[in-house]
Amino acid sequence: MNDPSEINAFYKDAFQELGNIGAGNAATALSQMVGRTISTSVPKVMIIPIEKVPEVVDSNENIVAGIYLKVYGDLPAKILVTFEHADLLALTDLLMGQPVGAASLLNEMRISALKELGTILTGSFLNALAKFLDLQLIPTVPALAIDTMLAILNTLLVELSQDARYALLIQTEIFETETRLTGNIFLIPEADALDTMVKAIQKAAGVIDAG
Amino acid sequence: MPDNIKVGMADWKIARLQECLVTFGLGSCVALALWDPQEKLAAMAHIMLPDSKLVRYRKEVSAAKFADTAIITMLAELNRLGFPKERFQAKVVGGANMFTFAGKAIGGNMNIGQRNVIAVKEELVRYGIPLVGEDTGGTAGRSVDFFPETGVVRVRTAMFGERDI
Repeated sequence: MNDPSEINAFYKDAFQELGNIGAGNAATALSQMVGRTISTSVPKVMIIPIEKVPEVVDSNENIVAGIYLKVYGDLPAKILVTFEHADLLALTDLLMGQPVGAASLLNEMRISALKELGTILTGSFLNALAKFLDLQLIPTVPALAIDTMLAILNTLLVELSQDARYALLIQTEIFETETRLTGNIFLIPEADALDTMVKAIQKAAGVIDAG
Repeated sequence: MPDNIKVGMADWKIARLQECLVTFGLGSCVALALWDPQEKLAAMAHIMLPDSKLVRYRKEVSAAKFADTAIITMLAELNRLGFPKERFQAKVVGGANMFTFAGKAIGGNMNIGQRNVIAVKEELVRYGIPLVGEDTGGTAGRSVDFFPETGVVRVRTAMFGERDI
């Protein structure tokens, strides 16, 4: 995106709703997988110069697992799911149906479980969006990196900055209430996706009004 | 402990003696550290992209964002302050490729990290600045502390410890 003045309050609300719809569906999927209650926060919508993103997103030198995939099709975008490193063992315990605290090492099987989790979360996130916006969304296979939040974000921002000066980020927190495991889902549309999003939102809003 | 001066994305800063230049979370970005051993003066840029000519918005953002505009801007300003380019030596850190999809880098055969490193090195050659150290490529993110007193660049990673170059 190169001119943020195009975005008014209506679209900010609409983007927030997209985060809600996507993350809500992802939380339901995760909840079914692990048999625990999963909640989501109110999504944050940020439209800021790319260089400023690290100052605004709560990104620091904390280590996280970042699951990243690209979306092609009608709405080119990036999706990033992050979990705090400290939570990964407990999270994989839940995924593998083991008592929390059973594991002490993030082995290959657990890494693979995390990737699978990424596929399911992002898949359900995208399905909800595709249905709501009536768009064709084609995801790549997710890639996983375990590193600082800053370095992971940095990589996505650099890719984005090839075409855009501003970033639109829709960030939704998902959390498991019992053991306080928290993750974040970021939806970051590509520069040329904005127009499509706005039109699809208008159409969807129109459908809702008429119905 | 020296005072930390933070260098954000697409930014560059100068530091002396008791200070320390720091930059966090280099993924595919590159930190360029210039050091004048005689005056114990350090300058560091956090460069995001190889070439300003490939983007549409280049006039609106900091020159330090791109390899081709960062180095010339830094050298001109340092010269203006009385530090000619002949005195400087360089170290280059970053340019990782953190996410690979099925063994292949995003964005074709050469990822942005690699292209950043190559572009920065080409600019150093163009202005005759000797490259005296580097820690580039790989898959790990990096943070950097750069000490003007000694010229040491400390590279820190999340999972693989730290090393001085």
